[in-house]
This record gives sequence, structure tokens and C-alpha cells, in this order.
Amino acid sequence: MLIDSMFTGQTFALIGAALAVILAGMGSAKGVSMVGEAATGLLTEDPSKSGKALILQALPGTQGIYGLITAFLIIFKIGLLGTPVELTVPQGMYFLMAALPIAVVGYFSAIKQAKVAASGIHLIAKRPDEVGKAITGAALVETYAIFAVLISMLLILFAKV
Amino acid sequence: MSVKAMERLTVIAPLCDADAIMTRLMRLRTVSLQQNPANENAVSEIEKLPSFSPHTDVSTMRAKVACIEAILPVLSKHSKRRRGLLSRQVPISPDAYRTDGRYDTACKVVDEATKMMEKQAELRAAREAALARMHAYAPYLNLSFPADFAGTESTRYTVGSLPGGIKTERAEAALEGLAALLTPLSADGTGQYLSLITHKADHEAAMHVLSGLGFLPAPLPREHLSVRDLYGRVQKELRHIDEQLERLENALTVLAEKLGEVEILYDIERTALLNEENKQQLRMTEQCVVLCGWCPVSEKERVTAALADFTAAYEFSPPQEGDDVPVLLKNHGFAKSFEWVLGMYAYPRYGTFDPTLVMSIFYFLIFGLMFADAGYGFVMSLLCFVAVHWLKPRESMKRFLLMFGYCGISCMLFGVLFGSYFGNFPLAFLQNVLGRPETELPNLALLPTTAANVAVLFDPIDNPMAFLLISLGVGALHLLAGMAVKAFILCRQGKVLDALFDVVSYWILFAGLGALAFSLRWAILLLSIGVLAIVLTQGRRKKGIAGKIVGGLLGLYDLVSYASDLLSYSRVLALGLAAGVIAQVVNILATLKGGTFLGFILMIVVFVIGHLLNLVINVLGTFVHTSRLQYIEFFNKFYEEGGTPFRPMAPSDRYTVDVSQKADTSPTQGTTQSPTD
Repeated sequence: MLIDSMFTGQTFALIGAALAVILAGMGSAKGVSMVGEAATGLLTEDPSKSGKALILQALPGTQGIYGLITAFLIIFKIGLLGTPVELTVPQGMYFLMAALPIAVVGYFSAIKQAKVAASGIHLIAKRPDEVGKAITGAALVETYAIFAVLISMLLILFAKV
Repeated sequence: MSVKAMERLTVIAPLCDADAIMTRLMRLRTVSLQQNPANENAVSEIEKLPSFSPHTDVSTMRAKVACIEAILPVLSKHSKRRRGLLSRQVPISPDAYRTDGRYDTACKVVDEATKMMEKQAELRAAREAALARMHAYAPYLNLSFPADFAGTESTRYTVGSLPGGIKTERAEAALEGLAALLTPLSADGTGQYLSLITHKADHEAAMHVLSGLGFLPAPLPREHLSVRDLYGRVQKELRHIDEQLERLENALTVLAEKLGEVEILYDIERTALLNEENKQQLRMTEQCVVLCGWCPVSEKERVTAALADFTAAYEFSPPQEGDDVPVLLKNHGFAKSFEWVLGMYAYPRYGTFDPTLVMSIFYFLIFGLMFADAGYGFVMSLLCFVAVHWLKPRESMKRFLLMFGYCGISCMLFGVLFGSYFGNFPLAFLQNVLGRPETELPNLALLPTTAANVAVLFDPIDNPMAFLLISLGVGALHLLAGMAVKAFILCRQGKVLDALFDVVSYWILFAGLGALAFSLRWAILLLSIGVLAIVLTQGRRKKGIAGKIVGGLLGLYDLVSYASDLLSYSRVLALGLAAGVIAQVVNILATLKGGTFLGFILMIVVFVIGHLLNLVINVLGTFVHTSRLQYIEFFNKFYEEGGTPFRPMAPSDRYTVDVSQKADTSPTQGTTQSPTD
């Protein structure tokens, strides 16, 4: 009985929402800190490049936001902010699965993107004019996080509950 | 559509006129000096001449500029005036400035400030030293003997410290058998402080034992004063230093009122330095200097007029094959504001197609579609246009702001189409604050709909698939435009057949794919023609029959890259939804407390902070990804990059703008640098 009441559809949906925030947020936190460390090194030498460095540092932060958005969509959809919707276990599992793309891809892509952005910091240390290429390089990695959040969002928006 | 035509400028002038001519050309801001050999295949006779060495002390000038550069941040820290990226430039006429005494005043300020900064550094070092001494004396404050006390006739007296890990008992045990007495004085985290009395005869042995344990004699001066008095003396010293430092700070604050003068001086001195550095790029003969540079054809008249005032021979000649001609983009108004986006990527090669205009149109469209919100767009445009109008920022900053201002307009247009005003704020306000049902929301929809929102077309969150189709549709147009540009370039080069094979054959194929939706017969016909054309022509540059066949089939494989390019535009939907969902969350939080007075206050606070945050995040994301769609998906269809931006000789303009020669100053505006510089 206890087990039954613990694992309702709502629980699984919430695990999905939590995973999206936790994993994508962890990846972004790590990514932003990696670029931040590289940027601080640059700024000790040349504080005037702070604007460019800040843009690069903010880039791996978006995965965390995508995780947050996915979690909010799940929360909206299962009515936690209004009248809660009763979910069967398979329906709950559906939301958990829907959250997985951004949870997993968000975690890894944030860290990989941070590596590119951190090398971008080294690039603008030597050649400040090439900031466009540094940003584009990092944005190429983010594409996959965007695809993941797109699928997560579409799955949740089209969920029949 | 193409970059500005350039001509090579060669000027030969007497040595004595070099400075005057260079100053004049610098103020024109339309002549760039040639760097390196322009043409690696053919080094001209001029380039073999020795470099001009004008006997001026460039290193002193450089030192002076560096000195002012070091002072400026200190003064602006002490100044009440705040200066940001948007500050105006002060109009200044350099020749008058040098003669009317302001130059000398500013130089005096710089000298004074330099002296103060040196004094400040000295005092700070002295302060550190005093603090270190105080720190060293502190453990021995309770010592009853004067600092220089060394013992009586038959004893030796030493004070010092043992590292924290060594217990006094252990030291006492080690001293067993020697006539020595250890007395603990004090202890702190780093160690314990002791006094040691030994018999004269045992002193050496005791010290040896203690050194082995890490005993260090106290760093006390050999003075006949108690440690307490010594400590007091240093304290007094420190107070004195602090007073002096405070007086210096005050003096710097007074001096900082002259910050504006120093800023002007900076530009004056830096302009002089730039001029010297430019002169070093000239070549010389026994009597003459020779200038080699580039000048836009459209500016020829102004340069001719300026040079007519001097005894100088000059010649304009069109660029030769293989010359590294600098590139100046030729755009006006709307498109000009997007040049810096192109500059962030790479400049087109000289004589090739300048895609700024086409890019700016798609940039405008895609930016608005990706961040479709009338509220955010309005705030963005308002901030940018107000800043441009009231603050009169420098050219590069102005272009940067204008571009975002235009993009804000696009966001507004799409925001109205897709019913987004700070997300779903109208709905949230109606339901949660006014307490009315959602059915009272005005229905602006063109098409019949049941959903409650104010969209003219539809709400992307209700109907993401339709929005995805629109995104991909705009993407397809963008890609087709890229291919059309390629076809245009090929035709302009007279390679009409290449355009037919490389672009039109794919278009037939695309048309066939599109026709699948309408008529199978037409689709099969078009697809067969397309596939046949591609397979037959794409291998035409390969050698041998096998190579041609493989090349043709590989050409068909390009379809995969077109498909992946197209799918890349799905990010428009993802980023659009992201902005919309965060805005919804902000609206829920903002209207949480309903229509009460407290709720109203809460609403305003949450609304402003939340939406500002969302605006910043999304402007950054949208900017980065719209740019990426241009750089990767659009440019790789046709772009010939690798041009050197045209950077004309120009006076330093960090703080001032040179107005000495009104007639001359309709500057060409060379490369607008990235405003984040």
C-alpha cells in the first residue's frame, strides 16, 4: 500500500522534472565555473575584455535554463500550480522519459561547450577581434542541447493527460 | 552589394613636409597605410627603399602615453563623474588646444598625479612593512626586559618562537642536563613564543638543541626599549602613514576634477604617437619620403584637395592582380548597422560579394521570430533608440545599439502575430488580478480558434508544430537565398553553366520534393530531372569516368547537408518557446497574490525583475543563435571570406573627436570595430 501511494504517476512526472533541473543545472554550473576560471585568468591581465569574457561565460549557462523550462512545463501540465491532474503510472513514466533528453544531453553538452568556450577565452586573450569565432564555436555545441530541449518540450506539450 | 572600390595611392614628398602631410592625411581618416609587401609576387622598387626614420624620440612619446593610461583609471576612480560605454566624445581642435594653455595645464595635472601615485605606492609599501613589524612584535608584548637585553654576566637571554607542532615539554626534555630555563610567553595559531635563560657556558649547546626543533630568534631590533614601546612607536608610524594616505586620497579627489582635461590630453598625445608610428611605415630616399597606401575611389577628390596644398607628387592606380587590397563595406542606413555582425565573422575578400544587405534582412526576420514578444521588443527598441538619441555614443556603439533597436521592432511585429506581450501577461492579469474568466480576452485571431489568447495567428505554446513549420519555412527561404547569392556570384563571374549545375539543379530537386505534397506525377518528373542533373554534373571537375560518377553521386549526398542545415532552424522554435515559458512563470509568480494592494506591489517588483532577467538571457541567446544561423548555414553557401578590413589612419578618438578641419571631417568611417572593444 505504502509503495503504491509512493509511486503514483505524479511521482514519476516529478522525478522527471527534478532530473531535468538537477542534471542540466549541474552541467551548467560546472560549465560556467570552468569558463569563469579561464576568464578570471584573462581579466587579471586585461580587465577591458570583461564584456567579451562574460558572453562566453554565459553560454554554457543556457542548459540549466532549458532544464528549468522543461521542469516548469511538466509542472504546468500536471497541474501542480492549479488543480492537480490524476496521472496513471505509465503517464507519469511518459513525463519522466520526456525529461530525459534535456537532463542527459544538457549535462554533457554544458561541460563540452564550456571546454570550447574556455579555449575561446584563450583565443580572445591573444586576438580580441576573433570573439565572433569563439562564440560561434561554443554555440555549435549548444545546438544539441537545443535539439534535446526541443524534443523534451514537444513531448510534454503533446502529452495527453 | 559589393565592397567599395579601392585605389593604390603613392605620394612622394620632400622630407621636411612628411609630418605636415601625414597629419593632414590622418585627419582625413580615409587613407590606410600599406602593411607588409602588398603583393608577394612582385615586390615593387619602392618597397626596397629603406624605412623612414624621422629622428623623433618615439619611446619617450610611448612612455608618456603609457603614463597617462596608468593615471586615467586612478583619476576616474576618484572622480564623481561616471563614464560608461555610452559616453560622448568631446569635440576638440588639437592645434588650438596645444597653444591656448590647456595642454600645459593638463600636462601639469599628469605630472602631479604621477608624483602622487608614486608617493602612494611608497606609503603603501611602508604601511605593509609597519604592519609586518607590528605582527612580529605582538607575541612579545608582555616581555619585561628591553628588546636589546642579552643576559647578565654569567647568563644569556634569548627570546624566540617554536613551530606550533612542538610542545614546550618536548623542548624542555631536549634541554635536559643543560643549565637552561624556558618560559612560555604567549602562543597563537602559528607557534609559541618563549624566553630562554641559559648559563653562558651552555648557551651554544642549548641553542643548537632548540634550532634542531625549529626555534627562531625573535626579530626584535637591538634597541634599549621595551617591546611595548617599540610596538607603540610602530603604531604611531602607522597612524602617520594612514593620515598621509588619506591626505593623498583627498588630493587625488580634487585632482580628479581635471579628469576631462587628462582624457583630452590622452587623445592628443596618442594621436601624436600614432602619427609617428605611421611615419615609420614610410619609405625614404635622400631627399624624399614615399607613402604607399590605399584610398577608396569615392574619396579620391578629398585626398587630392588635401594633397594640393603641399609640394608633393602623387598617383592613384588601380589594384593589381594578387594585391592584398583592404576591404571597406558599402552599406547605408539599416544594413550598415549590421556590418559589425559580419565583422565578427570575417570580412569578404576584396572584389567579392558583400552579403550585409541580404544578411540584415534575414537577421531582422529570424531575430524577431526567435524572440517573438511585443513587450520585450518594445523595451529593447526603446532602450536602444533612446540611448542613441540622447547619449550620442560613438559610431561603433551607435551601430551596435541601432541593430538591436531594429531587431526589437521585428520582435514587436512577430510578438503581435503570435500574441506574446511579456509572455502571456494579458491573460495572467485578466485571470489572476481582475478575476475575470479567460473568455473575456479579446480575440484578435484571423483564423477561427478556440484557444484563449490574443494572438493574430496562433500561440506557439498551443501550437508548436505550426510554429516549427514557420521556422523551417523561414530557414528554407534563408538557405535558398544563400544559394541564389551563389548563383548571382557565379553569373557575375560569367560562369552561368556553373550556376545552372551547382544551384539550379538542386532547386529542381527541392521543387520535386515540395511537389510530393501536391502531385505525384510532377514530383517524379522534377525529382528525376534534378537527380539526373546532379549526378551528371557534380563530377565534372573530377578526372576519369569513375571519378566523374563518384563525384556525381557525392553531389547527391549533399542533400543530407541541406537537410541538416534546414533542421538547424528548429532552434527558432526551441528558443522562442524557452522565452515564452520563462515569461509565463514570471507572470504566474507576479500575479500570485491577486488584486490586493500588497499583490499589486508584489506584481510590479516581480514583473520588473523577472522580465528584465528573461530579456537579458534571451537577447544574448537569440543574438548568438541568429548570428550562428548566418555564419554557418547561410554563409557556407557562398561566402568568400578573408579580406583585411580597411583601417584608415585616424586620430585617437577614445574621448574626443577632432573638429579642427570641418571641411575634412566627413570621415569615411572605416571598419566599425566590435563595440564590445
